[in-house]
Amino acid sequence: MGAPDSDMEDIAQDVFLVVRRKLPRFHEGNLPGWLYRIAEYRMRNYRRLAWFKNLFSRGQSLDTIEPAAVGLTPAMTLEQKEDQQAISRILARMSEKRRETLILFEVEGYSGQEIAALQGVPVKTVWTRLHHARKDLVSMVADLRRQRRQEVGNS
Amino acid sequence: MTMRLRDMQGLDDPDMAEATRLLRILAPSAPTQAFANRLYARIHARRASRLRLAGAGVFVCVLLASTAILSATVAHRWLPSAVKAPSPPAVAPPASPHPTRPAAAHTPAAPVQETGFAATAAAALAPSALSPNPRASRSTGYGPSRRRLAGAAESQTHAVSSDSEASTEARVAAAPPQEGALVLAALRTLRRERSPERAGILIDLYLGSFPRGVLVEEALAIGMEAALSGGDASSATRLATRYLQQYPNGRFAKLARKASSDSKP
Repeated sequence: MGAPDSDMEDIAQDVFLVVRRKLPRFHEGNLPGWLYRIAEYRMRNYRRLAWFKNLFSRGQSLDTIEPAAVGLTPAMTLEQKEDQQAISRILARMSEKRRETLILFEVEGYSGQEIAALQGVPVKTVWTRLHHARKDLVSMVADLRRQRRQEVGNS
Repeated sequence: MTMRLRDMQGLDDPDMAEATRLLRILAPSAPTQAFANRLYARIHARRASRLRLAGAGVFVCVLLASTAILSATVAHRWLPSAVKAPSPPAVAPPASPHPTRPAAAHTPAAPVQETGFAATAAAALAPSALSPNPRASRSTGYGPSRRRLAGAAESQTHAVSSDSEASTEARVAAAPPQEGALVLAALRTLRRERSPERAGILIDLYLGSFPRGVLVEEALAIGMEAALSGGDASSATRLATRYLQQYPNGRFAKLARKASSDSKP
């Protein structure tokens, strides 16, 4: 859902605390969808809090402080970090529904039916969201490439 | 079936290829066993901290309740007695020992009961039973002028009051009920009602009824003060002489000497 690795454990912990608190109220139904809904709400709260946090910390993120991967040169590490920041920014600019559908399908490997069950929507809606998400992704990647070319040309 | 972008190879569109490359950077979230262990540990720690917090809250509540109960108990038992019935001040031991004087100054104040004796004395002291100037009729004549005696009594009254009023009251309260009631009535009559004649009658009544009473010394002092206030020089001299004979080094010896000297013509 686009959470940074540094906060993933905190968010997962909060999700499971909510699950533990609300489990007695859960009866027969769509358990994956119920879990997904809790995680979605928790992520929404996290983003709101992150917005306030960035307001006061000037957008600095702990994700930029990560150990270099083994076997990579400093240039490769820097490039990898830039790519991670770029894809994170692109995903952050997407709408929530499209981003979640894209990540669930492209990254997590869920099928269209599974995503439909999780999100509680028809399968066609999933494909529609995925289609628009891909278009957004390609468009923003094109903008990114154009911007990089301009930076290279200027330098 | 829709293919995933990350599985596509050899894409012609460079933007699509770049998007595919960027998507491959993102790894699927596969929670490891260590991640699950950390998660369980943190959830358990959070639960334990909540239990500790609840325990601390219960402890604080119990502590506050105990403090409140203790404060209420202390306030209920001690404060009313401290406010309503202050303990009498400490009494200095008498300068001259008296054989019949009990060392009861430090005993708690006994309530003065209106006995039959005291009632009789009160009846005798009723305004109708008193002559306009009873002591003047009993006295055999005046030495100095009334004004002079009154001035001396005024100055001596303060001396008596400041020196041993507290101890006198304490001893009166500690005396047997009948004696204490009579002397206390005389003291109140003299101080509050400002009636030295009636106080003198009460003192005479006491000295006649209890010639060896435990409050003879105080009764003599009150009688001297009453006589000086009322301008009865002969009574003042008589009481002063008796006091100095019985208590030459008593607490009120100074008063007795001054009363004796001021009464002389």
